[in-house]
Amino acid sequence: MGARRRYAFFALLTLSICALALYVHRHRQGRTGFVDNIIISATGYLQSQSIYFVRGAQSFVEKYFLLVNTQSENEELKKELAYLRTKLAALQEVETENARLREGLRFSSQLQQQLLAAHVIAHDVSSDYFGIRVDRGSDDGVKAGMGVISPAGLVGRVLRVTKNYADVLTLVDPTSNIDAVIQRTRARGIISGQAKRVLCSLKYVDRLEDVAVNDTVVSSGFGSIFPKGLLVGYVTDVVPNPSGVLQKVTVKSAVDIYRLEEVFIVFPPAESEKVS
Amino acid sequence: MYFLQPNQKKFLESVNPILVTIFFYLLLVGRTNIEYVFPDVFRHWDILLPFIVYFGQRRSVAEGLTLSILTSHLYSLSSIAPIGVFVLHYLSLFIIARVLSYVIYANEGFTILMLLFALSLLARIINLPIASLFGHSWGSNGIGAFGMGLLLNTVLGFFVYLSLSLLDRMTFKTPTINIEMAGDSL
Repeated sequence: MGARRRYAFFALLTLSICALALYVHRHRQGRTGFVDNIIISATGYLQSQSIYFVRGAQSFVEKYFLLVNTQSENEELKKELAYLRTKLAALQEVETENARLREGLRFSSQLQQQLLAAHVIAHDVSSDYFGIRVDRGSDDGVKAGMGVISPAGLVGRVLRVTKNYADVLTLVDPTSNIDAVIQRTRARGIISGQAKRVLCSLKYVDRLEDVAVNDTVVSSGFGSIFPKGLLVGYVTDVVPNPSGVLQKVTVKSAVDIYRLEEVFIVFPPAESEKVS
Repeated sequence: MYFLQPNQKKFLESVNPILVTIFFYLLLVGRTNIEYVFPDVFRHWDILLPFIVYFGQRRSVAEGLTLSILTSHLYSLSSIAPIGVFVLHYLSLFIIARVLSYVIYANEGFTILMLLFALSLLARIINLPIASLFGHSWGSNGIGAFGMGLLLNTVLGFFVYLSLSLLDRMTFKTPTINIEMAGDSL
């Protein structure tokens, strides 16, 4: 490499670092600019379209292979049955979606706060972060910091909002911190992710608190982000620390973020009054 | 394609960075959806890594830097990670891949696989200090990330790398070759 190229390389590198610092500063705390909003909207639209294709293809493949393995009739009947199976799978999909939505409606009517239903359209592209993207945005009144729940339990918090889409930081992400209590003993702690699919830690639990395996963990309701008493998960492991102040509590999340299809965004009480 | 006029070939070459970005973007959209089907497998696949390695190997510094920043920013917008983590992470990988391009020219199966494997491993290691800069440091280097992640990044990354190479050939893009021993034959 010649001296001129070397200088040019280092000059470019220095400029890049400066630009990077400005870029990071500009995007702090989930802020997005005009161009980013357009990119996220376009990506969200493509993701929302392709997720249905992926789910449909998965359902079709599962049903088709099931049929191939179980049927020994002639080719015509097989084809007809395959067609009917596909139709049945589609109908079952609609039926299960209806059941889920009915359950969601019942769940929504039980809570005091206003809820907004949303579809999960994509998962986080990185293996180290556990986020989901939903098809509701600022146009629907969604704001950063709002809670996200499902009939199965607590899901996470809205982190970034664009016009039509919102990114949710789920409870299994290590950067997520949610106030929770053990239902049986009211021992308090902070639920934080472990970068694993369903496992979380209940942090800052005093070693003198009574915590046992299979105890139910629920939301504390502090801060009004989540309704009080919402299921978070179940204690799977407790490691007492005789010499320390805290004990190590592992919690299995009630919600598997990779099996979520619909969620509810929780409006804070003040916003709920405005909406209603 | 060889019947094209020189100005048409030149045009195709000039749109190559756009096509590369579109290719990455479509892969990104697919990746965020396919995770739903096999979450324990595809979660560990780093789709941007082969692109960055390719840019380091076969692009000029200016073009490679621009493409690395653009693709890593697109990647950031599909993640809840703080904006800047991935740009810094992949920029570092680009610089490493670029420096490596002076000693290794990955042009055939084995060298591509080895380079992808090495950089995938390195990516897992440099990920920790970079995430720490943003206040995020946790044990992300689990068995899943190392085992399945390295395998997927090497094998699937190999096919992405070959696709990029094919795209270059189809658009008459002449790759930048830094290695001195490569000579004119490459």
